[in-house]
Amino acid sequence: MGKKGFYSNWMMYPAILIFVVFFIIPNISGFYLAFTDWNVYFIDDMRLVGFDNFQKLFIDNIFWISLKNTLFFVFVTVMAKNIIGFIMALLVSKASKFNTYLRTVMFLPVMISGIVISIIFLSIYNPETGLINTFLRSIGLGALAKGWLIDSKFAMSSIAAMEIWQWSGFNMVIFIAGLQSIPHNFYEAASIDGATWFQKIRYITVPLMIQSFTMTFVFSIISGFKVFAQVYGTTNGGPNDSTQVMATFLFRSFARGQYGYSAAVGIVFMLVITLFSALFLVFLRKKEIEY
Amino acid sequence: MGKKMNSILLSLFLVFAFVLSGCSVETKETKATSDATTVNEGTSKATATTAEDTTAANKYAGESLTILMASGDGSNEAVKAAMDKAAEILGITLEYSVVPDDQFLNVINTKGSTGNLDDVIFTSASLSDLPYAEFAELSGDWVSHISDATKSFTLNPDDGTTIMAPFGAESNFGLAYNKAVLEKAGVTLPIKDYAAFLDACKKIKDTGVTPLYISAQENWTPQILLLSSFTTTLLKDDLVTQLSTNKVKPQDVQGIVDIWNNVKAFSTNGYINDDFLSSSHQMGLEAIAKGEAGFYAVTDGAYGEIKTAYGDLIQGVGLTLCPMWNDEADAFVMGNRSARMLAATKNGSKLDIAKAFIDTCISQEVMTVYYDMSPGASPYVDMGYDLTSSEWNQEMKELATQFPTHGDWCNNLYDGTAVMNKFFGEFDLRVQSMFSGKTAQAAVTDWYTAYSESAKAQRVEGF
Repeated sequence: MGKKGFYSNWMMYPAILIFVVFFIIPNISGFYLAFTDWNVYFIDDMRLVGFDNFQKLFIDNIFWISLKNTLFFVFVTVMAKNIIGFIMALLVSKASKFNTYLRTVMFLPVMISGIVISIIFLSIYNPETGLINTFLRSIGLGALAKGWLIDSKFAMSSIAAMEIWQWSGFNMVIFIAGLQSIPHNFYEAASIDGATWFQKIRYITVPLMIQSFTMTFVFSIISGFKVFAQVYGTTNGGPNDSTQVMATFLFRSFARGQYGYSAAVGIVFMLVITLFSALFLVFLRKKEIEY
Repeated sequence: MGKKMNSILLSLFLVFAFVLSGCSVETKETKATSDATTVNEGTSKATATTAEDTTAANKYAGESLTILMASGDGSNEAVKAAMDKAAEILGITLEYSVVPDDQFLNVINTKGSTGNLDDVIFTSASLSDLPYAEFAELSGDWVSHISDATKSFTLNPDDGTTIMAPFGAESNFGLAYNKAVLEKAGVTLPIKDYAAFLDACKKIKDTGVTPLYISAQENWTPQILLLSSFTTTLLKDDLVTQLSTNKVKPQDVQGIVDIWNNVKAFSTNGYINDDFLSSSHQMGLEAIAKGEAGFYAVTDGAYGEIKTAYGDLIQGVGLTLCPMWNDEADAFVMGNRSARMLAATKNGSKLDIAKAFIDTCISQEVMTVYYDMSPGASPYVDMGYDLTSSEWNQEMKELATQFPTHGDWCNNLYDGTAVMNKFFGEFDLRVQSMFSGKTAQAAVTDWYTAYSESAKAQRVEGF
């Protein structure tokens, strides 16, 4: 234990210090601030107001809209990113120059900032001059041209499509690693037993990749709940708050100078994210297979 | 022992390096980069133009100032040109600290409370709850020349001293109109009430032109329809007192809901452009300049924008009343006091330079640069020189001989005070939401919800 243990403990302390200063203390402060009326108008004079902020939050219609939108966004993007990522991984998992090129192309959107993606898609979704509607009109399907970001029926789905386009490649990379870790003798044995391609995927590939699915699902859920740049850069929660999500709702409260209320919003959203992530983690962990 | 000492030293070094990286060496850089985007780094140094300027330039040559402003002002070419001219005269460099419009109030109050406020503040006086206690008293020659319309907005509400220097023009809001379109449709001005306005829209539509252009993609343009027409509604029945003390809610006042309904009706009555939800302000300016629309609600700053973008086409565009009221007796000309203001930070280390900079900005040379690019009605009187005002301001002055003049509902002086200043309640978003499908009743209710929350946070009595 002696010298080796002492050396490793000392190296840990700077990281612990950073973690405490930038994570623990702000979170504890946030808990306290959530029970105050701290705002921009009385920046040096905050008063404890008990559960007023939480009461105000739970009767705010926009809060429930943002929660509903966020859950919709999480569900749609988690399912789509994982399904599309898995399919892409199956298509490009075999080693070849072409597949290497394809993997790179599919992964490239991950490297682009969310705000930049938003600006690009603002142009693509433009109802008058955007790529999508211009193409639809050019092939005689002008009736299908919509206000993708200005019509509240389509706005949230349009934003989800951006997220799916950007991050499916990330999941694909994780799935490729998972696919390559499965021993080939399982597939050989299945072939000998006459299993079809689909049966191999269902009974060998998917069960043995549960750990990869766990990772991608949890990442997708967390990033889905944290969605901000895509909404802020396109609709900023509009039209009529129909695309408000948790992060933009919190940001809006902060921008209004209501710091205590924003802290309460942050606490509630943190609890929601933690609850959903924990539930999924427990569910998927039970499905993992050791081999 | 050697390894133990090494590990302790290495750990201490890591902590020290971390602490150093979090500290700024140059205070200017911290001010310029935290919470903000630095848009521009100063200008060339002095080429003094007069003997007096030479003295000032020599005194401050090589110095620099930081200017805090919102992005709406930071993107204004006339403002930047004027600031740069003033910097050139003094021989100083400027660092602009530009923050998004919706965060400006947060940033300026946070900086004020932590003692990190920039040397000069360029702000809109229509913002309530600026940190007035942080602004220095100003005493240039120009103070005694501030117009009556603007004067009250330059004063410290606590002690009545002058703490802000008006820079932008006293503005008119109204309906820009294309002269040729109206002439062809047989529409004569002024239009005195909403029914007559709808009649005019019908005539224009019959000629195949869009009567009224709406750019609802922006959140600040649709509100001009009400900013320039709502004031006289509030002047009735002591509504201002009742609303500001929470004795009545606006959604329960039929007159308020009616005028909002008049604006809402444009989203469905076929008198506006089909793409109103996705149209931008620039598209609106183009439409009115080129005769593709009859009317477009604007501030008089649009005169400079159209002139810059479309040259001589500005001669074919005028400015008139925005008659959203049902009763002709409610007609008024919207004439606002100057909104753009300069202030100096009281406890700033460069207070003398900041004051000299502001005095230089309010000099003929610098003001001429600004008003040549953005013509308007100067907020100063009897300065001994004239500044370029636009034909639009002249038109509104003539209308003001027929109709009373009031400010926009939020900044209008009611019994000498801008009491409604605290109740903006994201008015721009509420009006925009009507064009996105909300009913007028719902939009007015949302307005009340927003302003009452803000009033409660400000501990206004009655909320």
